[in-house]
Amino acid sequence: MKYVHLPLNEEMRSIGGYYKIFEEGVLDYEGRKVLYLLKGAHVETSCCGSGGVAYMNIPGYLTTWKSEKNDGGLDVSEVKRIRDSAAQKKIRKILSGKYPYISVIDFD
Amino acid sequence: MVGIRSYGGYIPRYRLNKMIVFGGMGWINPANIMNAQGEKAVANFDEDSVTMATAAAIDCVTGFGREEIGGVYFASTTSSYKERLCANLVAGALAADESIRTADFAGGLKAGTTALIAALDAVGAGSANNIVVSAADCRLGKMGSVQELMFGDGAGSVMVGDKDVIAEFKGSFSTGHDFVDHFRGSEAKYDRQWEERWIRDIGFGQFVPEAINGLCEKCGVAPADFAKIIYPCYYGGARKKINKTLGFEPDKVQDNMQAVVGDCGTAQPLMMLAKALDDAKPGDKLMVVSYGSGCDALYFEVTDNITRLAPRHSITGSLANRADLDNYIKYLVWRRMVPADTGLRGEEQKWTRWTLQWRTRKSILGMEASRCTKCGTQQFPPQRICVNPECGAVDEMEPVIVSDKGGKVFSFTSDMLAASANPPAMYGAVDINGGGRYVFDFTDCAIDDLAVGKAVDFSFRIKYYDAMRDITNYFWKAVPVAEEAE
Amino acid sequence: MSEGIRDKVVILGMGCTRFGERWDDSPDDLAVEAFIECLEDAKIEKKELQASWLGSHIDEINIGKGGNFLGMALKLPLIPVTRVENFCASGTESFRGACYGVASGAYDIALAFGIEKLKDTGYGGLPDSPAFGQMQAAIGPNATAPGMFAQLATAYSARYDIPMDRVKEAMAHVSWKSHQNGAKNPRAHLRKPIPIEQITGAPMIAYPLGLFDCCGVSDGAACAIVTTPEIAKKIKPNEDLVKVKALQISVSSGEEALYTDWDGAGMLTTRKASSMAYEEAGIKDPRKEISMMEVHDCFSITELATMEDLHISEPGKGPDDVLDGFFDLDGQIPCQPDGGLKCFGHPIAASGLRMLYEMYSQLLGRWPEDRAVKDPKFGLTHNLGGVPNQNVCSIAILGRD
Repeated sequence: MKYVHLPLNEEMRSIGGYYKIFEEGVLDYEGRKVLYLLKGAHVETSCCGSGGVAYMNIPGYLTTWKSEKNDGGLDVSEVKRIRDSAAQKKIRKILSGKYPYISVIDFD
Repeated sequence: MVGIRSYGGYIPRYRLNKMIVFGGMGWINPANIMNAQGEKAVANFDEDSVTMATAAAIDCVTGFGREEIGGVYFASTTSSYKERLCANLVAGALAADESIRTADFAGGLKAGTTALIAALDAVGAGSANNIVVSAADCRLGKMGSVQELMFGDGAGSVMVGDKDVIAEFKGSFSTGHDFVDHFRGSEAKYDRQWEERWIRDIGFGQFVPEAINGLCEKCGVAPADFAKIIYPCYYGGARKKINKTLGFEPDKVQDNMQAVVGDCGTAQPLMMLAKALDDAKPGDKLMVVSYGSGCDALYFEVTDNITRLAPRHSITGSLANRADLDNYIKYLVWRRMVPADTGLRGEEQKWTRWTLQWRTRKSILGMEASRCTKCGTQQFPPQRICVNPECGAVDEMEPVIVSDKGGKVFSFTSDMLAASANPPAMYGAVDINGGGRYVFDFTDCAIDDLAVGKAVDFSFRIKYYDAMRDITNYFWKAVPVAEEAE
Repeated sequence: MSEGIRDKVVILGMGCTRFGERWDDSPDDLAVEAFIECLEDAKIEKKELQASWLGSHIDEINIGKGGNFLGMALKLPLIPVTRVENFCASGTESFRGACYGVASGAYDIALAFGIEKLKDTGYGGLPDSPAFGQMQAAIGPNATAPGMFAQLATAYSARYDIPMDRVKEAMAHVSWKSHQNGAKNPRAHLRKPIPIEQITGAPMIAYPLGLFDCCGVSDGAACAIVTTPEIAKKIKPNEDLVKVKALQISVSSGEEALYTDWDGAGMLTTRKASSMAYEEAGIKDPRKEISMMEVHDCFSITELATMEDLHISEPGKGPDDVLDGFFDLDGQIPCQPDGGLKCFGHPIAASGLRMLYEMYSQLLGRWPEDRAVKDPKFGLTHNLGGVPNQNVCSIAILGRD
């Protein structure tokens, strides 16, 4: 799977709100590198209500790091999705410890 | 023979580690480190005395037909209403008949046992039978107080009758003392308390032995005759002193669960009694003592029938069903102790239509569904025209209670937009066992606990609180059934 | 024997405001803006209008109740104004009223109006209201629209055994495609193409729906003037005319909400209404005969499931068609050529008429080449209100003879 590195701290606007990527990090886990992203979203004018989310998502294990660029000039890495539920649990626990105020940690 | 026919107990799932509380407020009262060991049980944002009393009462009537219930007594010093009989809410949730006695007992922490004595007296006099007594408290201590650390939330329930009694009632002794160790005025949110030494030495230290001795003298028994002596007192030192004064062997004194639950006020004696009954054997003599504006002391003897009682969660099951609440501020917001911003949307009118609440009380409180007698389809809420597209029969329905049937998750979501005091809001369509489908809020779970096909139980909860008008209203939510521990 | 609406009504003119956060514009300003364009397009004078249907959904703010608003804002000459409301299908509902008024022979020329001024609410989102009645307000779940529609996605994935990754990929393409189209549209609220990785990287709002799967609150108005084919030919003798081929509505029966046989993977109402619409229009193979569509993309999953509910994609094959570009602007059946709700937002009662405006304009070849559908014959609008288990679906088919 390809992961496109979006710029940090830039508002990505949709019609209902926007989100930002605050941090892009790499966690060493059992000899592999886990790519994680800390994001926040603010839903401010959606029909569905307003609110938002502060969360982390994990594209997967990095297999290459910024190995190419896409048409828009953004760096692209290769990631492998983390499907093993035991690994997910452990990684979630480690990241919860580092970021205790983040309540949602999702695996892509 | 009059006595306890059945019993139940409920402890809310969330447990707040007292050191986390001390971590937040220890700076203002460092001596509180003495009280910061263990954890306290904390009601979820959608729980209160009424919902917990209901949970304990439902547990209590496990194995009995709801039509047998002949009375409901609700005891609490932290009711959600000064005036709206909450025993009617518990009775409604039990789907009990409406032509029964319902009463609220309040005013002091002995109200739970007072309700129990009243029930025993009524059954003994032959004026009522199968009275369900349920006591619950959700007491508040100011931030940084001793009470905050000592109080816990919970409920205990007993059904009193004269058939197949599992613990025979042998007698009681009561005192009423206007001993104001603490009090709460009619407009106040928090208790006010006097000096601890006075409370321990003159209050507990004097009145508990007075009640125990009074009971023993009246009934011609001695403390040593009892398999378990049950009394609430969260001052460890005072407890030791009472035990010593009265010569109790340590294993004969019922554990007050201070380090795992906290003191649950009105419910405390009944919760401890439920735990004692969980472990009791036929022939055991149990003494139950309450304390608060005087004492009640009651004497029961367990019978053979206890071996035939259907299993229930009770206190033992509730103790095991726990989840960490690792956020002290969440507790403060849930108990409305700190102002949290709910935005302009939170100020929107939340109308309660009392005509609707009355008209549909059986569905709202009792979760009564309808079953089509033509095609057998169960449907909730009750319908006049059968929802089965192959049937469509009009007015061929019979009522059926589904609150105790449970269901299976058909679809679910975890919603970060829906306003919730315990986000994310989780809800989804549940297929009710026996038929019917409705969208319920899920509670007491994490998103990982939900999956299509997962079994759920229904739990009576606060549906909403209208802060502007101080109205609390109730309905049922779905709780995923806990998996067997891995 | 009933004959349906096919070929009995012609759209003489249409108008549509710019949709967006029109902070400086009142409902009157929006109404006048749409009306002026419509009247000019119809080439008639206001006094020739004989009846009007007004769609609006939100009562709490907006234009108030009843039909008075339209008569007073447009200074209509004491003609009937019938207010209609049917959740998000209110726009199509007002169009239906006007069409049936004309088709019945009761009126020669009628006006259909849809308007919603929502940005006076004061907080994000729609004003709170017990939209599904008091019982549901008392005991219904603490739900939002994305939460209810999110269940459509998980049910769809389970029903057809399609991995959620693929469903999300298809949903992202649906949003991407709409933003590409909307970027070119001067009337849209959001006019920016969004790179696909920004869409897939968006946080989850209600699993599996992310930020870019949800639409927004906007102000807007749109309207149509309709008449008989005979009168239309007199007023516009040398122009192509757009005829109404079908108008169908289906409302939930209670089965989805309370019974246990619905699979949760699509809308029964859409399936029914579209079948009836094709029959009314004389369309036998929608996949081959429908040229373009505007559907109710309140959420990308809705659009995805709708492709199958409209009997255009085979059951379970929606994602394949989407990812093949079948519904892109240069695909077989362009869907959301104007950008849809994703780019316009959702002034509730205006949306149905905005969809018709796009189909109408495309059929008459009015748009520049970069956003024109090539030689369209039939345009379908799908306007859905409510939530998956209790909803109203309206379908309209327009055609050019």
